[in-house]
Amino acid sequence: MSTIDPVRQEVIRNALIAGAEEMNASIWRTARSTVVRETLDYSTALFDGKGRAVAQSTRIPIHLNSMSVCLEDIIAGPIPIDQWNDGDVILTNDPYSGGQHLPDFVAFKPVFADGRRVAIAAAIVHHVDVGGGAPGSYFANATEVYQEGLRLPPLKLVDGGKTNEAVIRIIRRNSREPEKIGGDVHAQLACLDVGAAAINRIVTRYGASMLEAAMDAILDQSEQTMRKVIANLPDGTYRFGDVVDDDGQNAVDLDVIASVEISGDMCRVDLSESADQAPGPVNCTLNMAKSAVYCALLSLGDGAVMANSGAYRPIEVTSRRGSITNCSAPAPVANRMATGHRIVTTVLGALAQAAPDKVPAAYYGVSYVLTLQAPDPLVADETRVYFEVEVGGWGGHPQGDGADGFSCGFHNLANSPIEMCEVLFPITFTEYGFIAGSGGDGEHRGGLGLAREWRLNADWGAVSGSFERFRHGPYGLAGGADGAPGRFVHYSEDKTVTLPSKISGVRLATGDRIRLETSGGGGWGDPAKRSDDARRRDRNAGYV
Amino acid sequence: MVGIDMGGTSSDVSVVVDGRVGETSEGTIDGLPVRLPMIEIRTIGAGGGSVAHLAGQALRVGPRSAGSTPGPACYRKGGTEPAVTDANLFLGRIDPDAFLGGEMPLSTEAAQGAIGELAARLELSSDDTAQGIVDVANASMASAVRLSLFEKGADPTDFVLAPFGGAGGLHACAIARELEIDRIIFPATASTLSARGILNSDLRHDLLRSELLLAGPDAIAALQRIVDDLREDARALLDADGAGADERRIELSVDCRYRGQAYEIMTPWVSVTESGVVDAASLAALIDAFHTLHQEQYAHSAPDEAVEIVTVRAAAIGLLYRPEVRAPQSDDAEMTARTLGKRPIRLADGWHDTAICHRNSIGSQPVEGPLLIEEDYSVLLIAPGWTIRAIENGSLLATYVSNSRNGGAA
Repeated sequence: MSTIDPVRQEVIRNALIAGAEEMNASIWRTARSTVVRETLDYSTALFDGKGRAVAQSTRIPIHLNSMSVCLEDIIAGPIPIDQWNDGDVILTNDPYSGGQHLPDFVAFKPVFADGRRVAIAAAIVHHVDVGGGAPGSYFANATEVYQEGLRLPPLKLVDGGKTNEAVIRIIRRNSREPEKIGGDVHAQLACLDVGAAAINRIVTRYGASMLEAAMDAILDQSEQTMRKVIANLPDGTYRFGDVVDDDGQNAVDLDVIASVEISGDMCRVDLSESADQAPGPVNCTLNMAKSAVYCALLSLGDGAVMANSGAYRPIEVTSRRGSITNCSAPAPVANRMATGHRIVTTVLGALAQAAPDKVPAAYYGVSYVLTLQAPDPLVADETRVYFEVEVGGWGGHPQGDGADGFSCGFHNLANSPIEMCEVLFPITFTEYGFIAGSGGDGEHRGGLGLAREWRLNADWGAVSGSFERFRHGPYGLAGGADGAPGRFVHYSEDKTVTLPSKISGVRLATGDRIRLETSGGGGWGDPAKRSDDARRRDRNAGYV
Repeated sequence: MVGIDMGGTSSDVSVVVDGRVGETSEGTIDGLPVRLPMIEIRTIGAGGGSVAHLAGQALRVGPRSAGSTPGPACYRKGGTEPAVTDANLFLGRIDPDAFLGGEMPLSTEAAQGAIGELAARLELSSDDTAQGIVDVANASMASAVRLSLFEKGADPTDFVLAPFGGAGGLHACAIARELEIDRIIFPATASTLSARGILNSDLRHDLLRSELLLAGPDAIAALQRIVDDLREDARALLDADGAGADERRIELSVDCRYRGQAYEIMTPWVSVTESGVVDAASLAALIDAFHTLHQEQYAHSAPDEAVEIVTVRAAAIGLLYRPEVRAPQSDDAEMTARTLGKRPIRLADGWHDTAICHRNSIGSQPVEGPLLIEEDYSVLLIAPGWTIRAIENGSLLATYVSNSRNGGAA
């Protein structure tokens, strides 16, 4: 390995991060669908020539951490790295070949200089619809991945500069939104060229060897910082268990159990004791589980650790094959975030024993994905699909109360403004606000969950939800109480029905109301120690 | 033109295309979203006060800033870590006795001490450390400029760089070359340009009316009503400002989008700005303009898709008196006579005895770098490979002429 001076290392590090951000801007600028343009459900990164993630854009942690494990899987099996040639783009969405769930397409483009592969540009994009049993490819009743949509094994979408148009035609033909997915796939491909151009600029300026040396040094530095974070934790094995409510098909608790072993500057996380994989689509592949574990550990680093493959080196993740945290094909995975969030809260729960002064009580811990299909208010005889992700309260922590109604770092998505929704969809909001008393009590209380309620104005509608934490509230820590669980309610003229957390195709009539209540965060510390001032503030603000 | 306002704690990047400054209604102030029309600016944490420090084995600059108190080590107000200003002083690019017009002498020893300490930890020479601090700061500013232009689908090589703020002139050549920009405009009174800009700005009221309409024949009556209302309100505001008939302009624009999008493009409505009449022709012109802008900004457009109108805007502008721009104050014959002397300056490839002159002595004949140009509250460094000359409006124009030493960086 050639050595590199500290100045060039930093200049190249900046250039790599800027390159990932340019890729990011490129997708945003050229994508067609709202899930990409408004919910910002995509991520970009630059890897070294060996396939190790080096620099990432500031997007979605669960995406970013997963791309490197995905690439490892592809080069270990279907397409060995020596077959990646100049002008190729390798694409997959297969959860069982390193992907996450079918709507997420992962694409990689190798970049060559001096006759060798010096870098790989990568992008993961959530596409609006890839077929399957429900619009948006979130089919709550799926029992096999085959029912969830089109599945693409790792393949060369572009081979030596030539795009395989047949694959693009297959993708379009399998989607409910062919124009949008076609446009978004092209946006994804274009951003890889932007990443390659950024690499070429660095190579022209500093040479391929200097780029490689800088990437090695960046990875080593992340590794050292992560090792320091781990070494600051007392050695020992810490166990913790949390629960996924159900898989949407059977009302059975699904345990997620983590055993976290800290040994010097190494961390081993074993999830094998978790429940068997479920019939419904809440299963996680091992890649997804790894990504969630990395996210939990990186959050202990106070932002000092640059997230990349170097930071993952001192972390070992294992899980039993056939479990909910390492599922086998053909288990369905569309709502894998239900378990993904739970892995984060479980690992954090274990780490709270090692670092009680750092770790907060549990946050809401679910991506509240709600879809509504209804007639278009602006165009006759057309229907539209409304898709949103809602959030809840954060856990209280050693330094203070949890944030009220706040998106967590793990999914990091924007909510949809209600004013915009009322214009675009045939609904009127009747309530949007904090739920008093939903945060777990404690010296530092949990953040409040949100209530979001609307009335349907159209003749009909069909609503679906992929939720969690309806039966088990987010846990409190250090004597704090659990946060309140969520609820999903359908009010019609003659009756009120409390719906389950995971359901597809609830039929609505004009005037019906739908109410989603999200969880509050868990409380931290003995409630008896909460100051009178804090309690008075809560009462005056109507928070309790 | 792309502006870099480099001050003590941060640098602001802004873009001007065809004489119009970029505007956004998606801005943020202190991390909070603010949905009002404002100038589009990207701020990065790199300025004269940005602190250099060791991160692992790498030399990092900022985002932490020494600010003005304690400030860089050379201020001798308690700062001990080297800042970008210390590096510039160490490299001979700032005259310690001429800072702030000579009102605030800087301590070269303090800068040397702070840089020497960091150099020892980096196992580099002090020269390379100081140069490294400047290089890292320049690279991150260049990245921010590239990203700002990239988001608009623009290529940096089509732009002119306009550095201002107290520290902009020292870094401009290096940033320009990083971006392959060939021309730099150094405006007069760079250190107070922002203040002068607001004093010379026209009065402006932004009025807007939001109403979701499908752009088609059915919308014409409603649009005419909105346009009439906005123009009436705008006239009343300008009357109250005392703007005369030939001192005012009311510009109309419309936020348009394809049906189903949630982001709009502010589309100037030129025909209605001129005529005030909404009809089939002026609506068609608006829709055409929107397709074109969409193609430019997002690299695709869909002329067959329905277009929605979300908001109609009127900018009521009261034109204010603007002072005459200054002509160059000297010709080339006087230039050499007014050279203030030479001093050793560290450029990327080593120390050079470099000519120093006052800004007033630059005439219309190009002068070659390396050259230091001093003005009251700022210093311009013209790197080798660049020439500089005065242009009609009192600004200096630097042009990159050759692939000389270091490719024009400094």
